[in-house]
Amino acid sequence: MHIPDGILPLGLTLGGFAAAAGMTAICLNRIEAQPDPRAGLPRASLMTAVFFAASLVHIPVPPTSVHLLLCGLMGAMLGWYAMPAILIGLLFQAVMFGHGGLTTLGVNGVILGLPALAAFGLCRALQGATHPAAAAFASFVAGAGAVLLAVALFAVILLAGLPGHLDASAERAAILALALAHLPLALAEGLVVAAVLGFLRRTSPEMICVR
Amino acid sequence: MDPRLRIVAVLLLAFSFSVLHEPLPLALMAILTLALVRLSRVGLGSLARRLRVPGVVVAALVAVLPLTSGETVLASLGPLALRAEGMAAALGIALRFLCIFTLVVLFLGALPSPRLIAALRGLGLPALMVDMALLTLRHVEDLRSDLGRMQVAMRLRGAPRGFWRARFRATGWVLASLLVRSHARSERVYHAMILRGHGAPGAAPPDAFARSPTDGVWLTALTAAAAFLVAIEQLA
Repeated sequence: MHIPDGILPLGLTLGGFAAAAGMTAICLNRIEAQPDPRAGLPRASLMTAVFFAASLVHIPVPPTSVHLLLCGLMGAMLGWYAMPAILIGLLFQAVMFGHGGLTTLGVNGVILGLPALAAFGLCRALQGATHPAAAAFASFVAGAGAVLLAVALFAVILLAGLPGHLDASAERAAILALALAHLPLALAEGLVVAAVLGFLRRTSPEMICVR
Repeated sequence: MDPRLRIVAVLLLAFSFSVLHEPLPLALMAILTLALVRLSRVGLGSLARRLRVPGVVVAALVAVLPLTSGETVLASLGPLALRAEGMAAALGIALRFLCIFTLVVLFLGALPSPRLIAALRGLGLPALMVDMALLTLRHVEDLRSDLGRMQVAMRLRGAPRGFWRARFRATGWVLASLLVRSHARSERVYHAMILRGHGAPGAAPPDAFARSPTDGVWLTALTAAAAFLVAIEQLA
């Protein structure tokens, strides 16, 4: 789900940087408006480390392979800290392992950051759900939905970025195949996120959904 | 070279490489990259090893292009046909990716991560993100060792069987236990850092970067090379 360097045209990569910078500025403003903006830093850095490590574990889904995204979990646990955390994780991945790219850092930040913020919004809206089944379902939707939204953004951006003279239907088929390979991941990630948030709700509820 | 200038140089070159599509500028881009590899004395073997995982991802993305895109058939085998336009597009993407990947390895690969973060701070990265990045580096190693220990302990206790219980709930619970345990440690570490004066005005001077006259010459030369490539692309 990371777009590498060399594929997208300059307009899209610069647009990605602008969008990611704008989203990060909004998030940082929201964080600074909190009574103690640094209170969430230890959790944010911990989750950034988890995000960094998790996306290096590839799960084979023939004919391709996928990796855990964890953007739904990042959003549910970090709230506004999720966007800067994702950008830092992506930068480390690009510099240390060449995973993703430097020119596509902004685009990849938007692809994973927007679903994380959507998961945060969902989690905050459903914070009042007290029934365990309802809370588990909301967590599953946050996890799986974030993956599906990230896949959709990835496919749209990649389709918009490939050279115009190429066969559009063939490109669409290839990108759709890649997107379909992520459907099992969405299901798996939804289940893992539901289990993680269910556990945290019982043991450390203060770790979920910071404001 | 000053790490801040390295970041500026690699971004300039990477973005200029990303606009190149014509054969001549692409060839010049490859020559410039090879010259930089030669100057930096980074071994090709080391580059190839680092390329293994990201290279596979790009190969998967571009492999379908020569078989599916374009009108001019170069060769065919049964239902498969190799097309010139798709081949040219795939080669262009692969070459740009290879060159930008090499630039990142050459300019930033050997830079220690704390130094990279300090350079980003010098270029204006917000203090909150700088702290987050520094703490992240500390957590990566801790998490790796903790996760290994917890997985072994889980297996020794007899991990639950079955699709839902074994695959997802158990994985989720291990991850959640790891988060709870690491979170407590993470807060202790951060509070200890604050007690030692981290973030207080004037308490810890920012890392000093010394920019030598040679750095300026290098940056000017690389900027000129980037501008030259873009100009050739526009003229081609």
